[in-house]
Amino acid sequence: MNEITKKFIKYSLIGFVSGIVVGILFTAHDIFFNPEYQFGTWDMVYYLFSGLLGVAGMGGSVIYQFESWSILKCTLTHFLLTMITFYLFGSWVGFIKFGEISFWISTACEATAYFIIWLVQYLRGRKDVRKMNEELEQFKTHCRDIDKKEEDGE
Amino acid sequence: MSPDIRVEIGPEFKKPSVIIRADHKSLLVENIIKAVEECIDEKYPKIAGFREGGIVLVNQADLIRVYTENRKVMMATESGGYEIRRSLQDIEELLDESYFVRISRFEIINLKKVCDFDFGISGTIRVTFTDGSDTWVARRYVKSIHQKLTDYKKGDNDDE
Repeated sequence: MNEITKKFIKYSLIGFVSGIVVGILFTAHDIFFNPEYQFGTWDMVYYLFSGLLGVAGMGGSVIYQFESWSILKCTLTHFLLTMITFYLFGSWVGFIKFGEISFWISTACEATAYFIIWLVQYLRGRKDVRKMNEELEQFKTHCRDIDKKEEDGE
Repeated sequence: MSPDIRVEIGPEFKKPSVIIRADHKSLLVENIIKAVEECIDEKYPKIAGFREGGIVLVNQADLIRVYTENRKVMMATESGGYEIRRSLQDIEELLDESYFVRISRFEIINLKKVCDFDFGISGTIRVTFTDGSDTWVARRYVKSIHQKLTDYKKGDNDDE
């Protein structure tokens, strides 16, 4: 089993548990304060759905480990993965109704969040590369000095 | 006249030894001795490269990059590419750590041969070499490249 598969399994498990915990937090008010609350099939499906969203989010984050993939490709793929999972299961359990205003709002929010993720990583990468080029220039000057000293027989 | 090369590998040979047999000490014999000495005396040995049935010993200073391609380890120099019949990890241990740095799971580069680094809009770091060729850098190796590019400063400070 390679390193990425191991990480995928580990992150997916963490994501599944975290997803369920987040799902419970969203329904905590009903669970703890609604005396008529009863755990049923719908709750089971809801928590499973929350867990699967966690798997898509956390497990899918191994995409960022693919060395040859650009930040844009990683971010777009992760965005599509989480959105497809969300819409597939959301429409199945009746959370999502395509074409409704809530659908467009959630899509816009998610797209904005991913754009910010990409932008932060892009700006950080650009800063890193600028710094690397400055360091490279200094490094080359140092190497030239050493070569010159060696030529002079010092 | 090219000499016969015989390699004997066995558990009884604890230390590698080279025996040259000839009827007199010719220029060829002297060259062989010189080549062997160059290989064993240097702190950073030459790297043996294979191309079209021939073998060449390449100075580390002439290396641009060492990379894996189609499960083969290759080295790029300004005079072309050669196959290396060793693993990338083995080669990494032989290379001068002052100038060579790993940039991905598949590649090690010579920093002295780097022209510049570039960051594209898609978020890929590209590195261009003095011969015009280029390759990409994995993001998780950026920190070690920074470190390598500034390591000499530590040495300078220690000297002061």
